[in-house]
Amino acid sequence: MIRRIRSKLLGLMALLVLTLLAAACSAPGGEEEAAGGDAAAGASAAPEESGSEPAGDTPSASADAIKIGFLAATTGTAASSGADMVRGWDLYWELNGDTVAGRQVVTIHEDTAGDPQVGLNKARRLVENEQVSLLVGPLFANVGYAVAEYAGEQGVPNFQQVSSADDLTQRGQIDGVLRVGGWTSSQTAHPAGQWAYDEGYRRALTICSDYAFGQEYCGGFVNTFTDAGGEIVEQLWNPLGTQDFGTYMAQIEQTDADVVFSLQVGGDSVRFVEAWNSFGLKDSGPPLIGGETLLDQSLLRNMGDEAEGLISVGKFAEGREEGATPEFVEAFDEAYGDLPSYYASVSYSAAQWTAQALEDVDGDIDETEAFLDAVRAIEPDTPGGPMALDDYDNPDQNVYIREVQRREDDRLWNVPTQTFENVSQFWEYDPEEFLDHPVYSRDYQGDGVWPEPTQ
Amino acid sequence: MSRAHMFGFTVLAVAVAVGVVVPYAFGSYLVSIVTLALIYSLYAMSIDLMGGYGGLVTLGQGGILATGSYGVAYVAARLGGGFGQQLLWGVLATVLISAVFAVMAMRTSQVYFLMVTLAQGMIVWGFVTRSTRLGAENGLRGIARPPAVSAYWKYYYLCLAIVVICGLLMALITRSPLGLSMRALKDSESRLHMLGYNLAATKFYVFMLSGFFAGVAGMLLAYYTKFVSPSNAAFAISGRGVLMAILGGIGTLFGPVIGAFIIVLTENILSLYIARWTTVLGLIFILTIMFAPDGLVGAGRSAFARWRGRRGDAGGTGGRSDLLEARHGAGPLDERSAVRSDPESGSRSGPLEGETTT
Repeated sequence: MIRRIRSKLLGLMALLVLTLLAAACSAPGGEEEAAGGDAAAGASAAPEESGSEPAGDTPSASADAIKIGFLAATTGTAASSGADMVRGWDLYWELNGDTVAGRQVVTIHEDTAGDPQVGLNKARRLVENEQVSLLVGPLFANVGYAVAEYAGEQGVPNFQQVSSADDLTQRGQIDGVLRVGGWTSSQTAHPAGQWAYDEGYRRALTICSDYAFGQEYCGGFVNTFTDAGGEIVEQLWNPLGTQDFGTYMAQIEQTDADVVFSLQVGGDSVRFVEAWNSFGLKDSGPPLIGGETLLDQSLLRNMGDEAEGLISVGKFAEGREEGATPEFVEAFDEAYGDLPSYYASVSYSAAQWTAQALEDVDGDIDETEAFLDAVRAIEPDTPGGPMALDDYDNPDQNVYIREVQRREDDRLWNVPTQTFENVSQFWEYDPEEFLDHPVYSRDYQGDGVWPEPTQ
Repeated sequence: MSRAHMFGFTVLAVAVAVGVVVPYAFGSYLVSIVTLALIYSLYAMSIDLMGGYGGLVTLGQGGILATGSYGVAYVAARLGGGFGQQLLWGVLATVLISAVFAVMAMRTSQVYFLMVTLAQGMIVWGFVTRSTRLGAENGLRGIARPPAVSAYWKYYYLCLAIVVICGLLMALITRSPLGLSMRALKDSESRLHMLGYNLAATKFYVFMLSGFFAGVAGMLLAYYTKFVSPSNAAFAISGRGVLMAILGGIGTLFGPVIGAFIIVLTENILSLYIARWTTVLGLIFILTIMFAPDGLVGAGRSAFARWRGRRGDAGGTGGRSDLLEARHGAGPLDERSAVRSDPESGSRSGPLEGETTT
């Protein structure tokens, strides 16, 4: 019996020691991850009802600091995209200093892990514990909806620069939620349909990720392609996380379509491009038009020859030689050793936009309405091109047809071959008529001619 | 026994007292976290009711939790129904789904039960992920709390009250005839069958009760986050519930509460201070299983009992075997005595003395 007590005591001691070791191994502030910064910020005592402690980030914040909460999925399946979001945002403040209108801008980073519950908890912590004046992010659309709802309720503005669920700036608008630097899923796809028709294609096959984002994106392409007079031969839908595209490639080999449109995300994109090449479709199959996330730089970095020469549509092209793009690309490369992806670009644009709006209101971010009006009045020239918010708080912006090319230093990047300027989320349709129809979904892809283009 | 009861009541009273004081001592964020922990406590207790007491560990309780949440959310967000309607449909949906799942699972046991419930959880997840009517991956938002409990601290008290009441109900259930049959299930199904009990019916009722409480937790969760999405039904939630029950002490009712609090507080508070909090959580699990397989509460009970000088395994799992004997007496149908040639010379004490067997 004594032995059993001893072994239990030993067990408890072991638990304690290991816990302490684990805690010591990850001392707050010692991590490069954003989480380390959180630990420092939260290192104050249990929150008192009277208010929060000033953020304890490495540069000690003055009581006057503007606190911004930044939500991104830095762990989980989209970790690399989330990391790019953080890097893009941080880069702006590093290059331009973090003092605006005499006040210091302090960003508190939180990880949503791509889960709406976790994202909501973190948003709650940022708003109630850290008393942030602005929420930026998150990455995924479903987390975006949850956070937008909460932010709207709390009266805290939320800039969603990545999450592109169409309805958030269409039928499901929430007060105070603006797509600063952002976009809608179908916005980028609309020009692709028109472009495909103009290039002479008449019969298209689509293969898109089978969830809301893929369905909205594909819907955009199908809508404009059929409106121009094209025909959709077949629509394939692959589930998120498809490991093997073999069966889909086999089906595509059989098709008589003259162009293939594909939208994939994350690891699926890498596997798709690989399969496209290894099945010989790149050489002998119909031409491929990719959605932006098929060949985004965050994935392109990890691809090889199989991606070279592929065409895609996107609102950011890191190979663009005009405007604010080259400077941004160079600065990002110098700071992080990577070419920036669109996640980095939109986050940088959001920071740029926010900073300018803060200047315009003299740093008075807590006068929310005035601040948001200032945001709406600005038309910045961002690394993605010039942007201006429309009446529904989504930016009109450039959309590029891009080609993957190899640079002199042997890295792959997207170079624009054609630019559509000032593209609205409603393409050329009348917004009210557009909104009368349901949002794009698996059942509703905008087939046929609807609504009548205003042109 | 009554001493144990008194101890239990004292612990409960202390816990409730602490619970009442929390909003006065802490800010809104911490109170929200404690609210979440309370909701998950109820959820974990429902898993423990069936798993710890009945030996039917379910890997699909997340599906029933989500059903409760979605029932409320769908009426609130899509149908625009009032608060009464939301509750009604939340309960109805839960009961319906529990009944269907219970029927599917009631003739299985052990590993097969695990597999069936796992599949059931996945079915719910798959359905809500695909259903555009239920918002697919974007989920449903626009759920409002009734104005009377809208403030964070009022909602906290509501959850506290509901969880305490449900906990007491579950304690009553474990002491009821159905509860005793359920505990006998865990002991030995064949013995119970031989005594003429309908195994399937027992499992069915137990499953329904457990599902009901999980549904209540789901409804509380929907009003807490005011948002539901398929991740509510993911296997991770089911797994987490089982972990909470095991960590705290499967076979005790207070154990899952402890387990839920540890996990929720670690995820939300410890994660602020330690980046590798998931490692810490994993270590806690491993060491608990190794050195305290009855969970923390179970280990506490064992230590306490040993300290008081009682024999052997008088921990939280002890005393079960006597229940059958208490009702029917040790007799020739008793498996263990059948092995011995002379049942009377066995080291077993009388049926009503409550001493454990070796």
